[in-house]
Amino acid sequence: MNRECKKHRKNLVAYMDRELPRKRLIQIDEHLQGCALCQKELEELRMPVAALLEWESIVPSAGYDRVFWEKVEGLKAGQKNRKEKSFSKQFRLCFKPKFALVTSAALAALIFLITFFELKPLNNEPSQSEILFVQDFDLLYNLEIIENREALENFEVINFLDILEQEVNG
Amino acid sequence: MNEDPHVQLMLRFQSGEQSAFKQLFEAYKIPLLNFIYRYCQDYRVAEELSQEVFLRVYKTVSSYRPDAKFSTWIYRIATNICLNEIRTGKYKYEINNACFDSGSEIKEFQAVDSRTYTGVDEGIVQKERHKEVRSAIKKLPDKQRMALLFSVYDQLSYKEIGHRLGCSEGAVKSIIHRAKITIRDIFLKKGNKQDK
Repeated sequence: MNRECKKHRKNLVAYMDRELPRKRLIQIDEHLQGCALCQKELEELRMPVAALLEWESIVPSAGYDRVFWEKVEGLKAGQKNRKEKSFSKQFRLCFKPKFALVTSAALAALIFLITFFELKPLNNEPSQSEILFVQDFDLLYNLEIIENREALENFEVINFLDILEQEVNG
Repeated sequence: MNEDPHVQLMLRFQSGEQSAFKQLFEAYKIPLLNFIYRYCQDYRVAEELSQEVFLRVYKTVSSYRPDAKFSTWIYRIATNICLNEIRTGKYKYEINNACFDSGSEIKEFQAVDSRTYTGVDEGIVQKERHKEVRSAIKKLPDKQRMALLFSVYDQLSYKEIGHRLGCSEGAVKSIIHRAKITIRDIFLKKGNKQDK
């Protein structure tokens, strides 16, 4: 093996896979044409690769798809269970002594808010009792006027006092 | 935007379209099964591991980012599963027992192409050669084996193999060089001389 062979042999695999720059590929091509030893080397490298290519492909077994989709269903169910478990775990965590104070405070605040909004509705519509109260108030006011009727009559009398006086004097 | 149709399918699956996942499963189940089978040389383990790859895709859909070709991504998952599960996981026992050197012949399951069996003698010779080449493959270190499988069966460039294996183009060149030299030596030791 001369120096030229040594130089090209380290690139024979890459040459086989066409993974060299074009210039280098041409150089090896030219060398191979005149070198039987390197040609033999190349053939020996190609032989197991050719044997590998004869390795037949396989196809999945009959139950392959079914088994796989069952696994997917199992995975989905597992994810769902994990979510539920996570919620219940968090819920149970709230009642641990470590978080008892925070939980009690939160519950107290919730109860207060519910009670507050229950007693004081947010809308400004007057209730039935308020409407009745206002009507009664008007009535009461009118009643006062009626009760002071005599004073009103006196007022009328006073208004016509001039005419009365003229009549009396005249 | 990534033009790879399989990336588009994956994005559709990410947005909740289950049928897109079904399409991806149909497209990749045979190539992945064959890749893993050639790597581990055990049909049952190959079936389980290829399903595991799809389950991993299903589980990680929310974090999927279309940075590369879908095939690169899914084969990267497959190589990781092979390397981790087979070497250290529950499949270690089966793989050791599936070795050709133990004398047990690996059963051929539903061969797709039977055209290569042309005659009885030729068939026997060919079977013997297959056995030898598989035995040689088995002796390769993991990365060399994977790189060689990608190179021979998927006809990938060194760059693409590098993406799948997570290493540089230069590293792949060196890995494949060593792999091919090794199987050539094993093959020649077993008496497979050149026909010429």
